[in-house]
Amino acid sequence: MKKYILSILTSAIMLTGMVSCKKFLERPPEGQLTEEENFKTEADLSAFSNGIYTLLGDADFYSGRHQVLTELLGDEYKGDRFTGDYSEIFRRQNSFFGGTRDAYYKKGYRIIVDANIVLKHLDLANSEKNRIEGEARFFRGLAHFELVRLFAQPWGFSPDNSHPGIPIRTELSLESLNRSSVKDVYDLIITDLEAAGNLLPDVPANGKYYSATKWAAKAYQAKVYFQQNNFQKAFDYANEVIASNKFMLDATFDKRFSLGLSKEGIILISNQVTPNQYNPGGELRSSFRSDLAIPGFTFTDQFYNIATARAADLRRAWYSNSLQSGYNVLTKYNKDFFDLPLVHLTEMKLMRAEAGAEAGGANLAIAIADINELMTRAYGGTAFNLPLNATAALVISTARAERELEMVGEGNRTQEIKRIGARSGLNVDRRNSVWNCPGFILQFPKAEKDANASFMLNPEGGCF
Amino acid sequence: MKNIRQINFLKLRASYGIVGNANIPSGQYFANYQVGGVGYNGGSTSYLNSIGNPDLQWETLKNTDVAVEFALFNSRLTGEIAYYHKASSNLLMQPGLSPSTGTGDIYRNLPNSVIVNQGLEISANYKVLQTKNVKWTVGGNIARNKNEVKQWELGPDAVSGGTNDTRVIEGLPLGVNYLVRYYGVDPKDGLPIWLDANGKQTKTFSLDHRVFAGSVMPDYIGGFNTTVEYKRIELSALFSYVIGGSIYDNSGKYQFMGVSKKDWNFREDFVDHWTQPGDVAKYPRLTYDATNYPGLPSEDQFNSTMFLHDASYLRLRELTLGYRVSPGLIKRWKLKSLRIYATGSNLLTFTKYPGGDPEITRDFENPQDRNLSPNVTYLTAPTQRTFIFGINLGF
Repeated sequence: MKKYILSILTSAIMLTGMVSCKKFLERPPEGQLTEEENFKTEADLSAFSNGIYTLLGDADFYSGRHQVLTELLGDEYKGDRFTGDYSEIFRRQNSFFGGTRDAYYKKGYRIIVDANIVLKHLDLANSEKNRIEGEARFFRGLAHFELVRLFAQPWGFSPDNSHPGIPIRTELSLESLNRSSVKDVYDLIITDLEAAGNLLPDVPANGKYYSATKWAAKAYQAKVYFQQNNFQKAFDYANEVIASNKFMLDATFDKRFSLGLSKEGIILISNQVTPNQYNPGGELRSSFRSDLAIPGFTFTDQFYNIATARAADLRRAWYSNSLQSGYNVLTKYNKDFFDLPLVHLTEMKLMRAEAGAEAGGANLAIAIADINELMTRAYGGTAFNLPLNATAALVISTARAERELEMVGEGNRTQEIKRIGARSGLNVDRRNSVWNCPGFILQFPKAEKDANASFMLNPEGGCF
Repeated sequence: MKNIRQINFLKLRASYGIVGNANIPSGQYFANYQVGGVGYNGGSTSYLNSIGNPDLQWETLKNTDVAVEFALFNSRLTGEIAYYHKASSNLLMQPGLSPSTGTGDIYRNLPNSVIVNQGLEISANYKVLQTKNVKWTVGGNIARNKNEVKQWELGPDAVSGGTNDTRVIEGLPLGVNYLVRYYGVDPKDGLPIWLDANGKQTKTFSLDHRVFAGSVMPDYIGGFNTTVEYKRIELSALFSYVIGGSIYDNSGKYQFMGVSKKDWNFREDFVDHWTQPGDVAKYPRLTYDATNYPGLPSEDQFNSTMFLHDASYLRLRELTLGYRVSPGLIKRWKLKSLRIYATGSNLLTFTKYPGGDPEITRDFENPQDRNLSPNVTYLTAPTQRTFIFGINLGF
């Protein structure tokens, strides 16, 4: 009998063993969650969406690479210290191999695909549904916007904007996609940002603008319209953000990149200390920081002289030609840590000023007030302020000049060269390229073409 | 056959098998999400590492081996002749997904791609002399390994080995050098002359001029050895050799520019460069910035046959001289045996390769890079030359 029981037991153990063995084999490795496991509750979805903020603040994106790639294409830097990818891009002759550029491109699409994953699981959301959906639409619109501006010729390059943009990704898919037209990409961006503006909260749950609110969506929408030279819309959206009174111009020019000292940030990526240590802006510091070593980015004498021309300009403190002898360097990022603003009130004011002057009418007075507010801060008084009867043309040229000075090193100038070129055919590039020359945009990663023979790469070079 | 006196031993072995490839990380089937280690803005985070691929199948490797082992003439001649044929299909790789999918690399099967490896390996040892005072043996081996990408469904740059060094192209061996061909220097201005894809000379560099320019796999590899013993003195030597194949000198492109933006050390063999009109030189005029050569987008893209070299070499791998002290002498020290010897390794190398050691061992982490770019150098440490003096004691 004993023997009989024993054999039953053994068989039973063996059987269970086999079943659990199958289970043991068919599961992901330790610590790896499947899609079903990762998305069970609204909190799970919220955590995934929350992670996307750190992708925005990734070194390969807004922590610096985005600004760096944009600045490289611009006309303020000497470029003799750039090598590899940086040298190619600076020479406006970007080839299809380039790991730094590829990493930026992939990070942009990672933000997009993650936003699409959030939207796919939106049925998990209850009370937070609007916020979560709004964030996803905001992320997706924003990433498409930044990518299309760097990888495609600008809005206005062709009369109907049918020129090739970037692949539009609105769902998770492994399929290769061809480039959509710039018009279609901008349509998607505007639809997403508009939706985000309607869905996102008025103020963040914890009162800190380290996450997206409707004002972040509207500020980006203003940027999009401004890039399109759609001045009335740009004015309206910038105006809404400013009129919300949620943000205040800092009393001094130098607080924008600081640890919590600025009230200008419409959305910021938060610098965090232990236990959740996270320090955005690293790539900005490693590219521009000038108090520890000679940075890769040093200014031409031409730009340095423009930027430091007015003795009264307090922002001259952002430049030095003595910190690293023989080099004109930026001091804006000479800090260990800062909160990283993605869009700020100074930019909104500059935009409202220029768009207001462009749109004309009653907006001109607001434009003059905006520009004077910024100039008063910058020059420590009203000496350089515009007269109240300044012409629209003067306001526009002043806003453009002040924009370049305020947003130096923030990835602004290149897009301005293109926007102004598209606006009126004017070439303001100090390196004498035509605003729409082929090499003024980045080349796509070669892998797009290898995966999809019909993918259209950009022409290269041709800017000098 | 038993009656054939010349044959002392003869073995035929053969095998055929269909196996998979276990050299793939686990869990690739599943999507890979992970709870974030660091929260953001007071909330927790989670991330996507890889979306996984539920359609994964085993790679198929059809493996055929045939070999003959033999011992002939009183076992004076021993050896082996072996042939193998391996055909891999339904390959498991991480290539070719559009980067705009945003998902990162995932493992996929390539159902329409086939790679064939085949080879013949011959080795033999022969005892030339076997007398009381003199013993002399010689031996050697040679192997011909040939692989070919029979079918390939992706573009030429979809899979690269190493640091963007080599390529996979249909009809060619695995891991080929895909480079712009360097024709020579224009004596007038010292600028490099390239060949475009059609073989036409041009002075404008373009990545579109790249063609198959060499294979990092050698045609033959092998070695030979000999040992002579005379009374208590023994002398043995081992040579190894490689015939054919190419070395791509990936660090050469920076060393050529020397003290430039990259601040590298200039290499001696680049001294043969153009300096003034009329010079006929091997290398073009020097430049601080490679982009001074027309069409070259950056020094990183300065890849051409200028830095491609014949990988053939012959190397004296080991030379040993030994002496066994006679038992009579060591008896009073209560020793059973005493041998004194001197060994030198890598004493001599015969090669046309100018960049140092032609025996390249790359240190790539993943197998794809190791397999595709074995003969691409990047400041690869040379094999060391050693001298050993030793005493073997037996109690």
